[in-house]
Amino acid sequence: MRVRRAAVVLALGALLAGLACRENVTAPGSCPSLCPATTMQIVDTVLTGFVTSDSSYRGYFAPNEAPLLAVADLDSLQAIAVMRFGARDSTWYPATNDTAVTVGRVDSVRLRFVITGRDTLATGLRIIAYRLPSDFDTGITWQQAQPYLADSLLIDTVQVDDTLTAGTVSWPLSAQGIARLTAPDTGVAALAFVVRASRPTALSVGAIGGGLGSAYLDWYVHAKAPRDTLAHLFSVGAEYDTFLYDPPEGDPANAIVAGGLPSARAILRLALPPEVTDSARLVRATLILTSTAPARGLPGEAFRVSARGLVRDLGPKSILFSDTSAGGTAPVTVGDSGEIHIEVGRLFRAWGTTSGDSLPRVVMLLSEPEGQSLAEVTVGRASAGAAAPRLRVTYIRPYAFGVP
Amino acid sequence: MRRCVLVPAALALALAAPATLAADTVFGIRGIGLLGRPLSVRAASSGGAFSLFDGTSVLNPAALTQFGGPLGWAALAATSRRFSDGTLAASLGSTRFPLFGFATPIGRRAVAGVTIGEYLDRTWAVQTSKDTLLRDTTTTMSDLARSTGGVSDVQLAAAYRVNPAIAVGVGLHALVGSSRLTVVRSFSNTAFSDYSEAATTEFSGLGVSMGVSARLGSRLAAAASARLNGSLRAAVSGGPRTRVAMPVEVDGSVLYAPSTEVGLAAAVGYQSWSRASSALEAAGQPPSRDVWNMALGAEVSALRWHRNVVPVRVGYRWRQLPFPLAAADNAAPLSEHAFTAGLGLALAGGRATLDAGLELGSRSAGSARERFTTANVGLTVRP
Repeated sequence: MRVRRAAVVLALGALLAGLACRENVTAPGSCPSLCPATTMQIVDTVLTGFVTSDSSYRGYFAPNEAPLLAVADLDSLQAIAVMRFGARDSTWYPATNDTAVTVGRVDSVRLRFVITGRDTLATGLRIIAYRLPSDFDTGITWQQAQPYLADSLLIDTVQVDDTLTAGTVSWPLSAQGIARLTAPDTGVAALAFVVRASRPTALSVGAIGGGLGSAYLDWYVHAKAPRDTLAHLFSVGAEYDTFLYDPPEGDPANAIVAGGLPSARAILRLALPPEVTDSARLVRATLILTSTAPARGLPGEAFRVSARGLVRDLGPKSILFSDTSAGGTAPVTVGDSGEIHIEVGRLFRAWGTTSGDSLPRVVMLLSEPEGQSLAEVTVGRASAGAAAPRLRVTYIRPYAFGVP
Repeated sequence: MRRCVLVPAALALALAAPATLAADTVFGIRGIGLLGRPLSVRAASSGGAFSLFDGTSVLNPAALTQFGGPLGWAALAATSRRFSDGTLAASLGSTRFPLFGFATPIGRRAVAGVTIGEYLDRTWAVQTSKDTLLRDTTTTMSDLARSTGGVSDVQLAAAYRVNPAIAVGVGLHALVGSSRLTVVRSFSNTAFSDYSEAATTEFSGLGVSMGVSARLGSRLAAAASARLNGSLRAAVSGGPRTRVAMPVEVDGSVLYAPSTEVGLAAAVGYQSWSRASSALEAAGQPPSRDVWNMALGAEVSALRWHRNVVPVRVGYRWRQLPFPLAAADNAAPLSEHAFTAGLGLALAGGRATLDAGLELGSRSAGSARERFTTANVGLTVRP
């Protein structure tokens, strides 16, 4: 009897549980009869005159910190790569339990480097290597390097196969080049690379620390007699490299610059109305920058312009907001002009939160990745009239919660 | 041992009440919510016709005198609904705990009790979407408005048996509760972030009720109650606040028992909700109206199961609801009716009763209609 009674109770419980498990109270709105009395109002508007001051600063990354070396003979950009190799050893140990042997003669030398990008429409690509003074100053400028690009200092001309778009080039130097390669008594080689092709062109070569491979000199040598049957290869890498270019960096008076090498950053200090920094109501904010000149850099190079927030506004030494997602980026290709649209809604919403309220209302423009290429944009500053920065914001007006 | 388990369980259910009292219908979007029906499952199964004679319902404090010992009770209601309005339709569902209570005799003639019942339900959610041209691109905006919460009626009641035929009672009512309204807008274009904002409205108010029940001969009984409410204070957190005049409520019922196994009852009620109109109109809503409700029910105790009487109940109820829908041209009044049925099972040697009921009904206003099926389960424990 108890079993049957328990079964009835359990059946009722199961039926109830089946009904009770359902929880869905969302009905389709049948407006206006079955909708809230208050509706959400969206506003989409363009703000101007919100930049109170702006500045550009250069020098965050130098060309010698870049992962590539630019070489170009374009009308818009002349660039050469310069590098200094270490001295070749004069002895080596043929085996671990053997005595050292001395270099007797140099059989050949191969110049090896990595092309990371080139203009494939340019044929007959040649890298012309000139000898630089082995003690050239690391602060050497484009103008200071020009006297060394002379026939008397020519090491060799490296012919690059037209089919090679990227990869390693290994070129045997001529006897004359080998003879001119090192400075007397030091054994140190320093080179400058100049590019020529069927038409003005540009390319990039791997640099020290770039992860793609830097330049090497491969010395093939024989030992001095009586052990002159022994051969050895010394691979000597570049110890310092950079590139020099013309025209040098110089920021126009009516514009601000971001990117390039040495890399530039631009600071925009903003005065924003409350609805823009209301973290709940702002649904989209787009910073609109107007290019005052086509984006510069190697032809076809693509990069991004990033707008980041700051933790502290210390001018050129400002501390960037560590959360890169609280900011926005926009893609740019060298040669682009016109408007650059960067989404900055997440950054503005961060400013509207309790923790972000103390953050300076400042946006810093930089290229991304920074210091990796020559690519840079030049955009109008606050005083540039129609080319001044604009802000397109979309937000919801405060919802009127009524009673009852 | 069994008593020790059942009593704490009933108390635990009662303490959980304020968070779960909700009837959940989209019609609660209008006015100050949908009126609750704080009835026991026994009373609800007979359409509410017996509610003025039922001590476990809230309507008549005098009915508490039917209890000869302490007891606690709770009710659960699981509802499945089908909403439609023209081409719009949705299947909805929810679970609520509309009533908890405890009562105990004081002396030989008096009984005191406390009940927590659903007074106003403000749990609802509506979703709409529309296309708009935003930044030269057509974007679909989806809006969700979700309200959760309501107003509970906490009653402290006392009843006194004047003589074997007449009992009177009085109840003090505290209306307490809150609802949280959250509005969300999302965009089909992910370049736009979702917007969300929420505010909580706190409610409070007081009321007093009086009731009487009388036996008019061996087969006839009558009961009546009246309730006077003060204003309901509503305050949005950090925002506006207002006072809504609450209604005077009057209910009456007669019970006829042609035999010891059959009971027939009819009830009628009136609530002067038009008093709330000025506050509603100030908030831009249509005015409320005075409303009536009516119930007919029967309880038959002829069925026996394992030597226990199993009462079978049926009923019908109809009620007007005070807050009309805001139509484009005029306000559409809202009304509700339902057919009910149920039964009761004695458990634990009569120390507990499990009541089960089913309610099939609909509520409608203009073209909007909601059909509902509610399964009610109530547990009464006599420790």
